[in-house]
Amino acid sequence: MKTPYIYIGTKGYFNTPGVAPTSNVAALATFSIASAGLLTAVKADSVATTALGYRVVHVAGDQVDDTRGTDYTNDFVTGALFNVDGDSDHNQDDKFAGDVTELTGTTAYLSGAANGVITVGDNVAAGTIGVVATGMLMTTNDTVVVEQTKRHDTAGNGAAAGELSSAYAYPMTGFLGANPVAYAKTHYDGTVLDRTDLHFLSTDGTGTNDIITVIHTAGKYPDLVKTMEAIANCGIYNRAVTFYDLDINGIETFAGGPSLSGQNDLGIVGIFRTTA
Amino acid sequence: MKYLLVNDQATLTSMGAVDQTFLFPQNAVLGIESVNDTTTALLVQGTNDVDDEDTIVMVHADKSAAATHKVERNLIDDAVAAINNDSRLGFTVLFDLLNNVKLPNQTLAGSTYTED
Repeated sequence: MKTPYIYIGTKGYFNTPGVAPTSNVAALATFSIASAGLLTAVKADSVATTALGYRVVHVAGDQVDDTRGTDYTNDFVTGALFNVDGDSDHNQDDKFAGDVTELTGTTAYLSGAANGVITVGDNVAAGTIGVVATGMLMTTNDTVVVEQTKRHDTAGNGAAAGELSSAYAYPMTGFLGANPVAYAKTHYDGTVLDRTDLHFLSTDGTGTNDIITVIHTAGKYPDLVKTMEAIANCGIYNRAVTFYDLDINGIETFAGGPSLSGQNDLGIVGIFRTTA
Repeated sequence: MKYLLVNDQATLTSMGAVDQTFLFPQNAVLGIESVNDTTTALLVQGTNDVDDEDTIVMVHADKSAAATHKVERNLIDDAVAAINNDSRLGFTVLFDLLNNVKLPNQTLAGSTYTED
């Protein structure tokens, strides 16, 4: 019998607390394809962040003077100039709670040998990475988001294709259910997030299940469920219905909410397969 | 119920053994997923072991190349259309190396069927 198919692309997303530096560097918590849908390839301090398929964004949790690299002058979300609090140096390196900084400096951070560890340098001259202009001195009240911005076909986003940026299509007859999972994190734009796991019959035929993890705006679980119902009963059989996709140019495609609007009605910030 | 047929053998005499030619019902499909930049797998409930999968690998152009970055997405659409096809014959040929039949976005050479 015929059934609609759902197409699900990958967008890696890792949201983690800041780490106070030791000897001028701070290694963020380890992430993996299974936990974040993302495994960054080696990035040395000579590799421009514009060459990568992901971005690293810092959100200040509290006010600390003289902690942000002087290259960073504008808030990543609002575009506004960072505040100048009038301390003695009058630079915009004074961090205020809620300030959002994309770490764009070439020497801002390193990524290990596909080991899921990003190391951020602080904003002092000493140390191996992070300089006065590009570093970020974090506290544990800060938040760092590592967000995939393109499919994996860029140097910094996975050395091998493998499971990176994989795409999946499932028959909707194999959809087992949607399970909310505690998440309790906030996106860099201030949006509170929830997590929902979509369960499908496993493609390995073993009687287990594949889990697609969706990180989305808090409170959207009912709409997500209605969206799955809409796709299951859409009557489209000659192609797969895109739930989410991210292409090599960074273009995102959404099913939308229950009306299948094609917009990001669910507020998806990350989506990846955690169990196969 | 409609059926799908695949054959990865180029000569008549080599068809018929394990890992060569396969007919399966459209409701046996478990899913379609990326393998790497140039191959995508169609996974089907195992015929020899129902607690395992049979694997149909479809080769395509390089999805990491700018000119062909949509090829895998389009191939998945091709496969879904074939799986859901209302064929009057009762079956649809997904690909057939002997008769040079393939999906529009597929590369026939190297496309395989493997029984688990």
